[in-house]
Amino acid sequence: MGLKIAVTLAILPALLATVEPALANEPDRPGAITALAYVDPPFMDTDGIHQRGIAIDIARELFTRAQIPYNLIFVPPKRANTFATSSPGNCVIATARSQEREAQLAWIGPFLITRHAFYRNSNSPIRVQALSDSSEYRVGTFLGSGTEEYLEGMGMTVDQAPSNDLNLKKLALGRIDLWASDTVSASLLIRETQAPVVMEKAFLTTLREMACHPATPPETLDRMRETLKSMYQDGTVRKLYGNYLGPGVKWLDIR
Amino acid sequence: MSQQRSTRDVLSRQVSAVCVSAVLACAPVFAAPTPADPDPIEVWLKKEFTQSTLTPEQQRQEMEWFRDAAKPFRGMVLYVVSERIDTHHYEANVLSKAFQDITGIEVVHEITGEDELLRKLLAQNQTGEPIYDAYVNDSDMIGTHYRNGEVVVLSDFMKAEGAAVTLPTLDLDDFIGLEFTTAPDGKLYQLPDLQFANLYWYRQDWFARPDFRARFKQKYGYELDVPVNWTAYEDIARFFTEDVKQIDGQTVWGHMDYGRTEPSLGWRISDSWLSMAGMGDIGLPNGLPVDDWGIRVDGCHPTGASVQRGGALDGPAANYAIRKFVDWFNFAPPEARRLNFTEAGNWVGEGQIAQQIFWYTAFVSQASQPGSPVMNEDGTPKWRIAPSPVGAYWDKGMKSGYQDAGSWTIPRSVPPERRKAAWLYAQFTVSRTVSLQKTLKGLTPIRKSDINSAVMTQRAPYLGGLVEFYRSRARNIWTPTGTNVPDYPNMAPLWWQHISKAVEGRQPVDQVMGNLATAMDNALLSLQKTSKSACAPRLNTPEPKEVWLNRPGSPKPPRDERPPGKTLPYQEAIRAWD
Repeated sequence: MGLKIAVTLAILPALLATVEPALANEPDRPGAITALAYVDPPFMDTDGIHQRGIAIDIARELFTRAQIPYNLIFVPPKRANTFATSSPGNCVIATARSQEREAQLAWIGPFLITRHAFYRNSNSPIRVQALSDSSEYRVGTFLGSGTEEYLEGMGMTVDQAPSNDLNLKKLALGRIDLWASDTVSASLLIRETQAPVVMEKAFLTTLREMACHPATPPETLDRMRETLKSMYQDGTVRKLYGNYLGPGVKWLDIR
Repeated sequence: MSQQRSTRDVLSRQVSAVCVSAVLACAPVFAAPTPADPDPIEVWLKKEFTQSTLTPEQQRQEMEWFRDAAKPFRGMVLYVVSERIDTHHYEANVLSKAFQDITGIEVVHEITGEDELLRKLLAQNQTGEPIYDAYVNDSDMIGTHYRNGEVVVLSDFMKAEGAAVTLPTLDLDDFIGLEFTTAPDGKLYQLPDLQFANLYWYRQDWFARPDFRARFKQKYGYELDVPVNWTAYEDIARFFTEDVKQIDGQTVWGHMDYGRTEPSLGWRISDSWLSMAGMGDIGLPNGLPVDDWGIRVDGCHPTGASVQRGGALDGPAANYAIRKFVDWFNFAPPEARRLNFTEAGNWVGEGQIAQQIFWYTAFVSQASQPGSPVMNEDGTPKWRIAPSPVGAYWDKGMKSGYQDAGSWTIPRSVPPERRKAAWLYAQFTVSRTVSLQKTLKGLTPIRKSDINSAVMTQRAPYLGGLVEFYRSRARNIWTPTGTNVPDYPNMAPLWWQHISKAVEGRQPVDQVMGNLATAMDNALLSLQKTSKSACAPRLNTPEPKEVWLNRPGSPKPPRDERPPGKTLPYQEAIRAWD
């Protein structure tokens, strides 16, 4: 069984409870938003029929509370960013906000707050006290995770895998010394596979935001921002994370 | 504490013992724990913190205090974040390890871009989620912090719940930047962690060449020396770009800057550029009642940024400042308009730039690399830093430039016990045991004792004027953004969003500044409606521009924007710092 499938099954109870909100799939209603997602489990995932993930649930709750009609579709990540930049009415659900793209989009966030950490085999003698300690080791990341850019910017060489679960195999085979991953995905993968892998050191926290076309009406943007804020303040976002993480796996409180 | 953590601590001590002498490039070496584990304090004092204004015994006592004060928090993992600056890399890669070894508190010290750091702080305040325990946040946010009540007031904390975890040898009087982190209520909100100024940088070797000096004097009628005003800066820029053109077969430029449409363009302007032109009022640290953002205050209440409301952001001085900023790209490398702050920082070290009016001393370390085209063989620089030339509207008694004071800031949302642990780490990074060594690594001093030390005297000839600047009263005249700005994270983006239109030639400068002033006024109006602060904005009713321009002080009426150029020899120019 592939690791990705295993993770998907692990979060199935949360998915089965999902009911399409009344405002969904109404692209023709005035003011409707086309919400663009891309496959990035456990944050965003689809089997072609169902759409699921932490970010998807946050988006659904947000649009419903803000009473904004929307249509949620999955596209490749680059296309999602291109659509949001070029076509009014489009928003990428959760993407990294960068100084370079700051001016091209209107931002609503934080949509996802994610810790990233180094993981090692539990019998490995490797210890990382500070980020620079990792420069001596072969560090595995996965393409599109965002951490490879950060680590390379810090002068490190990284070994990119096409998906995160492959890093777990590479770690077991000794092809990498450390696996750099967001803590949510890593915790779920480790739990599902029972791999003898432990977290060594957190090194980065990232924010991802919803990025909308700059022509999105300011009142719509403000409504989404205020709604998202209220979802944090009343504990909704924390609860949505909890639906996926299950007992023993923590979100920000990895202390 | 778990057995796993205990073993890990022992291992980390052994790693550190091997690594500290060359910490940044060190490869960890592991050995089995032994009963005769070395004392981590001893290890770090001998291998890393060898330069200090304290005696070794005083250092030991200070470190023992940290070890003992941290006992209730051993095993805790702290999350802190700071900007991408050499000093912070030293903290993240060296000081966090020393702190963990000595106290048993693990620190995840993240490094990120300034813009992202601000967003994270804003996100933490808005969501209440525990993202970080402390931030090294520029003191530019002091006006925000004291109005929104979302950070721990350090002066109160030190007297009350934080008394037991406040370092007896912290010695606040030894800090040079406390006035930047103290609000109008007299309370300390942030603890300075690093400081760097924005000064004038130039190639002293080129300026000293007799052939260039003769040609310049023949053409412009005065000496090729340190420019005192913007006319002279412009003349020198034109001279090197259009007359000299090449030195030793290489193209040279009389000016360097950056103008890419992104947040660092905003800081290029909001970091005191308009006050260097002379837009604001007399008074330190920021000009009163009109500051370096062009915002007027009445008491502690912001009353407007547009001239119609008594501000100066769309007045003659501000328009002049932006016109010069845009026009001078004609004297810079063609790439300059497309570069950001970080990318432009490396340019002076390449040896093609004659002068740069707006140069952060955080780049001194980069510009001092041995073997660089701007360094002599004996390790001294071919360049110097000097007081920034000022614009036509500048009057004596005004601030002369910008200084960054990255300062430890603890969100109020951090739980009490974590606040205490975070405060311990913050103090550790500025303690006298480590601060001189940190200063030598990052060249961003914060303590008088370090600046006046014999070690810094020895380093002075190799630092191009940095030590002289920090030993002078100039360190009080180059100042950060002040307390007139009530919502820095939300107002700062307005700068680059509007100024970029002038850089790209999409709108005339006067229109850009008019729109920017209106946007600032709107942001203040919005706060006036929503803020619960006793110092919330209270906007003035708009009046015709002429009414305000004819009143004394800022906003100032039009002046001759091209007075005669004036330069001074280096030694005379830096007397301005006396």
